Amino acid sequence: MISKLTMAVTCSAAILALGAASTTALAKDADSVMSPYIGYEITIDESEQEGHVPTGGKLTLIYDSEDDVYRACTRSSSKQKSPWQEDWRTPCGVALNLVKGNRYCSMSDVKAGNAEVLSTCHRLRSRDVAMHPSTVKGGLELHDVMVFLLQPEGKSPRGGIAMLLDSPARVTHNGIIHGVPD
Amino acid sequence: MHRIWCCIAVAGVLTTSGMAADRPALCGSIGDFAAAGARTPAEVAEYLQSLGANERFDLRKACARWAALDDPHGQRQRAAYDDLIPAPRFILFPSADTPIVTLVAQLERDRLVRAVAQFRSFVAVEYSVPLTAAALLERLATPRISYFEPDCDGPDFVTTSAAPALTGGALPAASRCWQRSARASFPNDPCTDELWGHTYIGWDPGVAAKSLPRLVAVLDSGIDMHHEDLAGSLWVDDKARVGRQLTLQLPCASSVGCYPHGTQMAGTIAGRMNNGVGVVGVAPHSKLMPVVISRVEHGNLVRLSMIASAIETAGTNGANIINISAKWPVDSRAIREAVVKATGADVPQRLLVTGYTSSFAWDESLHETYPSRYRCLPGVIAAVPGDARGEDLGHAKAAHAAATDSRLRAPGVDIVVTTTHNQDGSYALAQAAGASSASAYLAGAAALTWGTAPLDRCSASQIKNILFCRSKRTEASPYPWVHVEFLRELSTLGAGASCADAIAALGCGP
Repeated sequence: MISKLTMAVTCSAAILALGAASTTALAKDADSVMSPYIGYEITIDESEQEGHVPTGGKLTLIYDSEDDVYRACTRSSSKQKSPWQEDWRTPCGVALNLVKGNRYCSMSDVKAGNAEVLSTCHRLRSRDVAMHPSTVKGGLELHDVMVFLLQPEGKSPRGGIAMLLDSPARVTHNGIIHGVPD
Repeated sequence: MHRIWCCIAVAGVLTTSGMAADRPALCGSIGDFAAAGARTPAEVAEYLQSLGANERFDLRKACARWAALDDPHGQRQRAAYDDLIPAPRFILFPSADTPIVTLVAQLERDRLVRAVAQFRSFVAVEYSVPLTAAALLERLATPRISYFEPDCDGPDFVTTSAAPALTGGALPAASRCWQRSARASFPNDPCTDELWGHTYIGWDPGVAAKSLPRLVAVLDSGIDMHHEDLAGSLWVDDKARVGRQLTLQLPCASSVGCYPHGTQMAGTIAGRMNNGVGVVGVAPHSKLMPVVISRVEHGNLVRLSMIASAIETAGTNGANIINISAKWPVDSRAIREAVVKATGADVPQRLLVTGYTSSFAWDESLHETYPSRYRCLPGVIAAVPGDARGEDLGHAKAAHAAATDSRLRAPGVDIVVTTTHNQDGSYALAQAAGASSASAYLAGAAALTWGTAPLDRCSASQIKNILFCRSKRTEASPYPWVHVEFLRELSTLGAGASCADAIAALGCGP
């Protein structure tokens, strides 16, 4: 698995966790809109879906050129409120497809949850991510994961993410998961 | 061999040609379910046709197919479906010559039926075991049943929540207004300054203080009847405290048994004003009718039959406005007919307010969900969630928009709301966002407008037209903002003014 990962930046903890001593320095195939987001560790600083994505958890997005997907590589931290589970626990086990819009989202866009607006935003998506044990014994509970790439703030080259589960239209009580670059 | 048998059998009993259950000409086909001759949604018929006679019917697959959520490349999803096939549930419509009680009696004699619930025009049936396609068709494709549809629920059919945990969204430290004492000014509710949405929609406490009560049904997870900022706001019909009505209408007995969502919407619509506590609702004198459609013990999942019956309950109990901060992906006949009956097909008797919601299909295409799509009906309005901070609505002119599109923008970001459990104050507040909040804001604005004399003499359609006429348009969005500042203008009218007088004064005449 390691050999097929082409990393944009090599020093993330997730990569170290995988034992990748050296990788290609730059991912020539990674889309340029992903530049502010891949290879940097992102900390989940707020999760309204604690059972699915833990506050304090860390993840790094990397580009898998062989499968042309972006992988979320997670790492536990001492400040994490709950453990990563299911697919999150598998090293780089969550594969996401890039859906290009024409801009980066703002956090306000994500909070409003208007799919018409969000459809114009760059995002990563997977339809079938297991994030916590199924309530049905032996079952598999899959979620639709949408990772919106937030406009980098100020002069920072790095951008945060906002994650929604199962629907871009927010009629839920809560549901936003927010991550900031370290 | 079995598959061939099944397809022949299904083709013979399920007419699907001309089915227009979920097509663009939605309103043109209102009431056409029977006329179209279809026995079930086309997608469900196709799913049934794909099964062999001895293959088991999978409710989740049928619902996913119906909702166009079935990912043709989703092998893992299909594998997940195979883990456990649930016992099927259906909504059944009796044929014209079959009394509904006869259908119920027939179902109750079936030993494989676990539960039957009778509603005004349909029956909800739940079987006790998974059924094969043949066994299912033997039961459903009978002359006594004119139409059947799966009684879906599940994450893709989520209404008020996908998150069963009873956790409230924390307020940013800077806006912990519940820790403050009452304001010195009117209204004295300590969180008034945090309600940016009120300011942007031109809400005036003086107008709100004089407004008349309207009855707003909140179809949601219930309302915490013990919340200090909602005390005295709840309407409960004592006559309804029997049977299933009790189940539907019972407000949350305590914050422990109540998922927060409904309580949040309630505060935005009709939180008490000038009580020195929490927030103030947009229509603070209105009454709230809690109608429970999602429950903690059901994982907050809602069945289509529950939504349909809840709409009926709100209508029969005289709600002026029905707020549904919820969504689902299919055009259920049971729900559509309930909406038409509750709002009135041509001349609306009451308003149904909901959030404008769409979902991404597996191929990233956008699909507007329900009840938002019913906005083509004259009694339905959809609120587009927005963040107006940064826009100058105060100086924007009235849009004089026609109500034909039925979408208005309303505050949907960083809304301070009442909730069900305390944080670190004596009463509970949280922060909400999204189409739910926008819907609640619009429902409150409609209630305030309808409750401001002489607009209390107007019909539902007149109120809807006024809301659009006096909305405000900005460059930022194609949808005009709901705006109620115009209500001040009505104070110059005499006590005997009619609705027509008010419409003329507001410049909203034909």
